[in-house]
Amino acid sequence: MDTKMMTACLWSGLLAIILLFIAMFPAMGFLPPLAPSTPDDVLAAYFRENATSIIFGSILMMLSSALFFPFIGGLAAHMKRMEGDRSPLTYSLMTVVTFALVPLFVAPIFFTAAAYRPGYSHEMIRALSDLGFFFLVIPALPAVIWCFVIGLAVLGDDRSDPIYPRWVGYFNLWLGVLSAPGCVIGLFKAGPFAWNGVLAFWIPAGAFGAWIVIIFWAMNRAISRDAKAAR
Amino acid sequence: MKVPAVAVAGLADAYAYAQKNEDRRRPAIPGDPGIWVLIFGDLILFGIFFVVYTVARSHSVAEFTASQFALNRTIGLANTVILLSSSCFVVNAVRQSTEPGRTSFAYLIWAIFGGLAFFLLKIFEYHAKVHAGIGLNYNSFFTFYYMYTGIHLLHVIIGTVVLCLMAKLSLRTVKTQREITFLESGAIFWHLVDLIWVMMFALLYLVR
Repeated sequence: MDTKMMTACLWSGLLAIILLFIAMFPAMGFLPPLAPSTPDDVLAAYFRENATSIIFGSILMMLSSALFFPFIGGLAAHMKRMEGDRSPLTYSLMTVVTFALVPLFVAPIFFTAAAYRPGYSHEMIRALSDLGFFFLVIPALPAVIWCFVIGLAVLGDDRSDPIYPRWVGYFNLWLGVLSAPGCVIGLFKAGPFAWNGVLAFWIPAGAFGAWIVIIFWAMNRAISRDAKAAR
Repeated sequence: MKVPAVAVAGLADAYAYAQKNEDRRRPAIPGDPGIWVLIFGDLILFGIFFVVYTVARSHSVAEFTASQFALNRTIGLANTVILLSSSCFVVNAVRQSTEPGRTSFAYLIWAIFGGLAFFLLKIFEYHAKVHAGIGLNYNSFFTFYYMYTGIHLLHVIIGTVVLCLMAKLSLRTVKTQREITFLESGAIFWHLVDLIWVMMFALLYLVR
């Protein structure tokens, strides 16, 4: 039973990232994201003309944000075992993760609002869309702490045969530092550190994709080893 | 000028340490094998940083060159020397870590001073720039300057914290293999911080 539930949590994460990609790319057309320097009228026209697909994409994004939680739940169950009785890092993960994932629910609400009334002024649509992008990218900051607590838990696992391989721990520490530039997008309207830039968007976004794949692999490995041991 | 003498001795010691390891036929990879994921990952990340910078520079060479003249090379060079010496102290600390006595601890304290000195000089440098009216959005060169050196400074801060943990650990007279591995891994990370700075110093301050 335990194995089945863990496996369900595992696949929930993969489904979430696929839904997020569908929402961002074919549905909303936000890959690459609309440039912060887009003129007001062009931006407003984009939201008015693509209202339905933007709202539909927003729904997928909200669903995706919710589906990440069972994935984190499964991960936390493994982390609890790494840490043992007292598990401060597991509790930290479970709380800090809301800071990073709830904005993924809030961002599409702003995109929906921007597309909701075609009669809104250009400035109104711009403001709502800006808020949407801030909520989408700035949560890279709590994700730094999220990665660090996972990294420390994996490295603190002193079994001779650890639940997750140690390099997964170091990978999380690396990812934590790498995601940090996402939080500075408020300072820039163009260049690599703007919300459509290489260093603030593409690298953290690509890294998040890689994170899902690697954690998926490590969780799956641990689940199947447990199943084997139980038999 | 005591530091260079220590530095030379340090290199000789490092070589002797490598030889000793060779004799003991320990695994060829120092530190925790997993830490190399972090090391190469960071090298790839900063590699991308440098490519992005170089491409941006090629679009506006005149502006970048003019801005580069505004940087304080003396502080940059001082920071390079500080980090290189600090790395050397760490090499010695690791070499001494299996010996009884407090030598390893003393070396690590010197290394920590290096990290703190780097931090203070960097803050002084930022302060002087901001005071002169050159902020984050002054031009695209200074955006790169502040962001890249800032992300590196984050590495220095983390590295200095790791050095403090290493110093605490080095006081133990008997160390487990796991603790020695931690000392080696921390040292490897500190060398990475150093290596990235040397590349960054060359790219931002020297290549005009």
